Amino acid sequence: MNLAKLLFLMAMIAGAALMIAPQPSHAEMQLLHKVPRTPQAPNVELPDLDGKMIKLSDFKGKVVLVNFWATWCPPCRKEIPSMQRAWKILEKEDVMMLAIHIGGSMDKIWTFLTDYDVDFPVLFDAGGKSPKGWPLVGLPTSFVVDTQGRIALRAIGGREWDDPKLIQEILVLKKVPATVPPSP
Amino acid sequence: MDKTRPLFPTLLKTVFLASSLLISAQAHSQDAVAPTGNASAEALKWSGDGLKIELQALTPDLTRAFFIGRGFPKKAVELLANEACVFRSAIGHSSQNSADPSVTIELKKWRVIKGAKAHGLRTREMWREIWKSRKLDQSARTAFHWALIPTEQTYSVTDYNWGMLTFMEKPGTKFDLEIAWRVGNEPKTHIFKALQCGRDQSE
Repeated sequence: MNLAKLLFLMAMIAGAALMIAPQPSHAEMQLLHKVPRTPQAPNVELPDLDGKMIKLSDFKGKVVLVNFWATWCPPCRKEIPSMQRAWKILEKEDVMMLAIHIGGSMDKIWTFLTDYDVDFPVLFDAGGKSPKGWPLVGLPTSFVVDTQGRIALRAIGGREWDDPKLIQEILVLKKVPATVPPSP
Repeated sequence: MDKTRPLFPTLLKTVFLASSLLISAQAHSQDAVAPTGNASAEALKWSGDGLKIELQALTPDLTRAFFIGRGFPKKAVELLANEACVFRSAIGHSSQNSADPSVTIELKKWRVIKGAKAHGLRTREMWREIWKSRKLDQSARTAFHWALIPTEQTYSVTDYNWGMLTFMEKPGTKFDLEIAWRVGNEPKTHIFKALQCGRDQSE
């Protein structure tokens, strides 16, 4: 076995060992929290896993769930299957989802995602610059951007995203008018 | 190839220990137990005054495995494995009542206590300067920053974070840990007695 293979195997085993460690349970209740003053979401322009550049501003007028994550973060990994299930619901409702991977390498993300059947857009931020301007200090953290491009809701830590209550909280934001009415 | 040769015994040992940990951890219940620091398979769980916390010492070999996997060079990995006393942690709001106030952790106020002496944790911001002076690759710096628990974080009900804490002690060192947080604006503290940095089984 060459060094690269051994390192990869070792990292995967260590990652699995860290992942099985117990985490706080959030099974009882899950909440999305309103973001005070609903700041404008900073634009994000990053490549997806096919190298295509994706901008948050491409989805102007839509509700967008923005998730910041990393493969080595256990709660991030744990919420991926429920994100995929939620995506199947939200996509039909014309709600966008962007999962932004912070740091790492594209190869590792590709390898990691082979274990998960995901088809929502995963963006890659090698330099970890994208969180700048977002109220974000730890992973995973998710935000729901409303139709006016404002950060309306946030969740620190993993969630079961296909929880009907959370889906409803996201869908309610579709009712926000996409443009701000001119002041009289 | 000569440069890689000395790494192999450590790597193989790490693979073996990580595999052992997987098996032993699966056999453990979810009950709260104090960490022994030996195999680091046991986690301390505690909750009180709005805060929920889990702490688990990582052995130097597990620390090596994690950070090699994040692209760290050998020198930086050895610094972390031998001097940082890395704990995995999960920290969050313990309440299920949505009306409860937010909880804020303040790592700058946490103290590692050994007898009459005490010192603080090494935070992300402190490590950033160290990695900068060592000219660590930017992707490794990014991974490290996000792998550590934020220096200050406010949790609303059901929020939590996962991340590493670095207590800056040698493997196997025993210490008490005073943690500090706020519930709304009310300061709280708690002391965990006799924590122990992870150590490899051969040490």
